[in-house]
Amino acid sequence: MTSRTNAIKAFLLLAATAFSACGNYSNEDLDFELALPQDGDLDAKLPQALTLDNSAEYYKLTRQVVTAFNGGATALTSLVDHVRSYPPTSRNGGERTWGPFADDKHSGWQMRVVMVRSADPSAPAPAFVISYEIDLRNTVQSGSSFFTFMNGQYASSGSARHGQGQMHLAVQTARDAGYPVDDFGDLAQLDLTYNTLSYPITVDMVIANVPTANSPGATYDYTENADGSGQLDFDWMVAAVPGGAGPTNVTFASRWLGSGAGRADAYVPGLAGNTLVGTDCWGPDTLADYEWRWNGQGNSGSADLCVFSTAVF
Amino acid sequence: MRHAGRHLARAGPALFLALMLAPALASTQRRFALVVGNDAGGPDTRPLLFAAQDARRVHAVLTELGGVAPADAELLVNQDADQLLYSLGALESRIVAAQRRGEGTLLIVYYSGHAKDGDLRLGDSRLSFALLKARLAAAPADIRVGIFDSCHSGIITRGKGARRAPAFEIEATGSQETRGLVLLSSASADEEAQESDEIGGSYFSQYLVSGLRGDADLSRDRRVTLSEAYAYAYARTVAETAESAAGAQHPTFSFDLKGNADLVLTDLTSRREGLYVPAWAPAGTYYIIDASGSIAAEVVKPADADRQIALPAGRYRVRRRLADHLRIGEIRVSEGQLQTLDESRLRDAPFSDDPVKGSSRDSGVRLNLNMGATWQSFFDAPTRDGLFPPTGLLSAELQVRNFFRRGWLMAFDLAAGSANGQVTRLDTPLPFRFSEFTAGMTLATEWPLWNQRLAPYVGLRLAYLLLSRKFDDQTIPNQYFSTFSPGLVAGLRCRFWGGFGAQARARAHYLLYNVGENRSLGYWELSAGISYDF
Repeated sequence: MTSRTNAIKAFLLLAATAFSACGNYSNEDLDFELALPQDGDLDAKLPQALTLDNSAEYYKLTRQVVTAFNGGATALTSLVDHVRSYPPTSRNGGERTWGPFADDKHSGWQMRVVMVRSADPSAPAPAFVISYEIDLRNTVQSGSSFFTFMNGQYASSGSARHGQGQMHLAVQTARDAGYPVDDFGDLAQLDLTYNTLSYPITVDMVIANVPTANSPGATYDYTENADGSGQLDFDWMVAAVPGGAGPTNVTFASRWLGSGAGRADAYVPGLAGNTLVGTDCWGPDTLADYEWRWNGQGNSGSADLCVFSTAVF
Repeated sequence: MRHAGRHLARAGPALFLALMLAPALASTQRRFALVVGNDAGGPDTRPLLFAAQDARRVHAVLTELGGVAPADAELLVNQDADQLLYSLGALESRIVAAQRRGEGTLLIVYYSGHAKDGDLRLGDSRLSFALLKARLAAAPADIRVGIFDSCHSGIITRGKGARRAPAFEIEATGSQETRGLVLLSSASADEEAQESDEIGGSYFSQYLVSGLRGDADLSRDRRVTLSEAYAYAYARTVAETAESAAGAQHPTFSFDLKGNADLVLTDLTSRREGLYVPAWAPAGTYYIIDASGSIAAEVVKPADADRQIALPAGRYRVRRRLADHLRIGEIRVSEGQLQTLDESRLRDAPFSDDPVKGSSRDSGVRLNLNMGATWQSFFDAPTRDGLFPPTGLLSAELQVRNFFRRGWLMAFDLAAGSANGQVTRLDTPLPFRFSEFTAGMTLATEWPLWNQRLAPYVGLRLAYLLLSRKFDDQTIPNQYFSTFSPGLVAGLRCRFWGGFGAQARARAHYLLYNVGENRSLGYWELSAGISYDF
């Protein structure tokens, strides 16, 4: 045999592999990419980024809560962001699976991500619904099966990264299964519902803590309007309220304009109705234009300076 | 085994001698010919380039000038040993029938191909020299002529009467009609038979055909006898192979003849058309090149002597080689007309314009580098618009011609390019930068025309593609896809001057896209570029 014969053999070998192909080049994968909210998509946005020492107290409190709120949203979106950076391990029609992979941070645990795309019966094509979940499995214990650590759903309504969705983080489930969740502190469950399809954008978050926590949890309802104005309703423990014997959970309704000027009203829910216990109004500079407390301590300014003239409670 | 020598020579056997013998092509003598050519010799042999072609040329000269009626000439190209023996048996039956009608008979058997270890190699089959020699010796024809153009073919002439000599003479022995056996071999028993790219055939067969067409007619009686043809072929073969890498090649002969005259192999008086080289034309070797670029015949013209060679009607180029350049011209031989060569119509030309196919190379293998641009597009509009956008690529291709066999082209190519694209998902336009890298291998066959200045080719290509895209939205990860893609290629290669030229080609490829789903896609490419022949 000659070198020419060998060359023919090499050519035929190449031809035999002609149909082997690989890659992640897929338009359909883009739908999955675009369905997942990315970091920042669900953040609450205050027009002013500054906080001064003499900023209005409720403004500073709102800023503090926004930070906590965004931290919760980030905890969820960062999980899916991490997955998004890799191509799916397998594709099966409208289903994409990543993994299972070994959990780099926690040996003995495996992670799997499954996303399923299906038609949205409530909207015309090409709207669709994507359900996704992050599953964990203990590889040390024999017979251990996957459980869902986080799951979510996204209804596209035909727009990239904008739609209605839910995300649920089952920290207590993971804790019960023995998965290390120290990074989540006292958190037991985090549920997030959002609608980013059109203004007003809404993001509602419910945090449930473990029973031994100082706080049973919190509820955040965020609304964002096209002109930059928005509202954030949240609960907060305050030292004393009328008739209270100690720290009491107070609901805050914080609103702001696109300029940054805003107003926050604090009230205590009760059987006979809500009781207003405090109001702060601030200007674009975040400094208080008006402060009022139920016990008269620190009251100042004029309510006429408030950009929102009436309280919401 | 006939040997593909390095030097100018490379494979090529062919020629067979139209041995028409017989006292003056007696009209009562019926001639039969079995002409066999086989490029393949089975395992452990390298394919020959010209064995089949040589057989065709011998078949042509025998039927044109050798007195063999086309119906009595059997041409076997790339057939096996069984077919050879079957055809020989069929001819023998017809010879017996002719003899019963009182006709004198002559049988010519010509073989061009591989031979090794005492056997003719016809593809994967074998036929021993001894068996074939015995069949010839026992054949019913009055005169049997065997001509073997293969390596070590001299083995068949061993024995009584065997000679390794430049010429022989058949002496008259009274009024007895000529009868017996003549065997000619292109090489001695220990020699390789060589082919030559420059002459486009084996040395021996080429010179035998040239001789039979008239250049061997030393007696100037317009008839080429067996003695004249052998002497001519011997002298030219030895002279032309003396400097080859394989060494000089010496034809041999043996005969056992009884009769009263030499054997006339070709009668040039039977056909008038041909080329006449007048005495005043410059001395030298004139090569008559046919339309395919092969040498149809050679004329060795001494000073102050004319020469005439028989040629079929057609267009030819005439080449005479001088020390530092060529003299080239064109002639047209018309039916029934003898064309006189007019030296004044020849022009000076550089060696690079040699009209002989392959004459400018010592080896049949040619290299060509092609640099150019390619435009690629998928047939399917949705694929083109949102998946793999039309792309321009810069490409380089190395072509190796005549590597597997003459007329075949093997090419390796690389190309890279990029384009802007955009895909819309969920009503959201997503611009991206598309990039592509390809590496391909092509096997094609080409048809050189006009002295290889133009060569169309078609073939198969297998390409490896690496396709990728990077989105402007950096939150979307880069995507890639790699696969092999089979396709068809058609191209045209033009040579302008020196080694420079241009190429244009079209490709159509199949691509199996299997990310998430299986889709059969196709794409086309158009390329153009400049090329250089090394």
